[in-house]
Amino acid sequence: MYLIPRSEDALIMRDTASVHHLYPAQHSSVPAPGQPHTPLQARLSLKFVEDGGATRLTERDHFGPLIVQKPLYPEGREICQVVIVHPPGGVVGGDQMEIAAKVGVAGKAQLTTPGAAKWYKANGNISRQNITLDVGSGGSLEWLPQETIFFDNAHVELEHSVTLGKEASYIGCEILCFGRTASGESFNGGQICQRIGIRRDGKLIWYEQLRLSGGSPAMRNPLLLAGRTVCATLIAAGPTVSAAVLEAAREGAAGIAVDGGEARISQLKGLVVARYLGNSSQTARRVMLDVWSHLRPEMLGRKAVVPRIWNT
Amino acid sequence: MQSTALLRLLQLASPSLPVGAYTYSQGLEAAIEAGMVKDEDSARGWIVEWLGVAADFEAPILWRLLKAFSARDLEAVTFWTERLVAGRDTAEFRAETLQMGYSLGKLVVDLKIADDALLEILARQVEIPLPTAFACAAEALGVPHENALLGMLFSSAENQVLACVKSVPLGQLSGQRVLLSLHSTIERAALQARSLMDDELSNWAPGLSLFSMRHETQYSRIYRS
Repeated sequence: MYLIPRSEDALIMRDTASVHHLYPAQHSSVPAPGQPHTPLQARLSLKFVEDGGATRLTERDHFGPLIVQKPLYPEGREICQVVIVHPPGGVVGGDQMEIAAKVGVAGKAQLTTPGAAKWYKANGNISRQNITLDVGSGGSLEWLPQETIFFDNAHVELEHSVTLGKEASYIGCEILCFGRTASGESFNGGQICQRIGIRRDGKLIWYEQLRLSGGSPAMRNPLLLAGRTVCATLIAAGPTVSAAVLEAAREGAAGIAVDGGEARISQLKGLVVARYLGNSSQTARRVMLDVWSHLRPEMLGRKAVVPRIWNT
Repeated sequence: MQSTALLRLLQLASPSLPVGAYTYSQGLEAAIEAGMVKDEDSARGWIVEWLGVAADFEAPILWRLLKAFSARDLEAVTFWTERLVAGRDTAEFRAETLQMGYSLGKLVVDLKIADDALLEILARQVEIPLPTAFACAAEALGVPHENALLGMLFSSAENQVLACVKSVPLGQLSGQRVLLSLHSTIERAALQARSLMDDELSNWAPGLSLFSMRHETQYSRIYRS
């Protein structure tokens, strides 16, 4: 068992306490209309270093309401799992979040979140999130956040860039929910912009730019959102996956997405892409986890141990 | 547009251009298999939506590539070429643009139509997707950018109409009726491609991606995409 020095525990406890004090559940629920809001700025910077077969979290700088809990080692000391917490629970117009994680040579890290990321109705200001992930040679990083929910009239800009060194592996997953459909809400207004870029050895190997206006024809267009409300994507960059594993992953995903949705997989050079389009974030979660379970042993050489936080 | 330039564009946008366009359906064959495209109306509907997707990403990037080749700007050509290839999100969609781009790039070299600066820019690309080769050829042949953009969109649309005639199937008259009716959509797509700012581009089309992924494992198929 990998032990964390007690002084570090104390540091995290203090951080958490101060954050809660500064932001006393300011918008843990939807802010009331007309309620003034001072935009929040939050930054988190993490650094993981491989040290004698173990991966240690050697740096965690935060500013504002973005914190990490104690690093976890559910699979032993080789892979370091960190849960990123955003205490306010949701993002209001004008808020800005920045997350940067750097995994050193041969380091192995897994990042996840404890709950859905909620992007509230805009108040005239754009909310922004900027994620920068950097994985050194031979290292691996898994980016496995819970689902993202765009409230009706949210105006959001998301930037996600990944830089991979030689023989570095990356698995990233996103579940985008358009509107709080559970409460009968649809995404009728607002705008979502997202840019995802993955570079390996300086070469751009994946690029996706999304620009979707709430209530636009694109939401019904069969080539785009096709009238669905949930779109999930898993991207795995690393070694080529065998035909048998790909076939098993395809069958698994198709077998789960049977409630009116559809899930499929394609393997490109050095990259596997899985997509789900449907109406259920629960189905999307199951599809993403199943695909991840098939690909992880191939990409990372590790059996799939589902992060506990995903089991809730 | 001068008659020389018009004739050159007709040759560049012709379905007889030996780049193998007729072997790709750009996702359409999966939509036919799924029963989504089954007659003249649904064929037109699919191609209209497809042109909308093209107008959000590939066409505006072609527009930028035309400008970049015209300025002999290696950096800009490389930037948009890389982004275009990385933005193709399935195995078949990537192979489609790279195989056709390779063939057209080779044709540009073998026909000796391009000057040294253009050839140098083309040679410096790690991979050549179709719009990059097309932009280089159009610049080499002196085709005005506005017309080259219309030509590329027209030949994509025509290629899909041909696929519909063959596979839905549609009658020849029906196919020509669809193509004729697409002219205004093509013009709108070209105008949009010319007006979008960089941060307004979007290649996010999960529905189309799923059709392409479905095609990879489709039991019976005659097209390569």
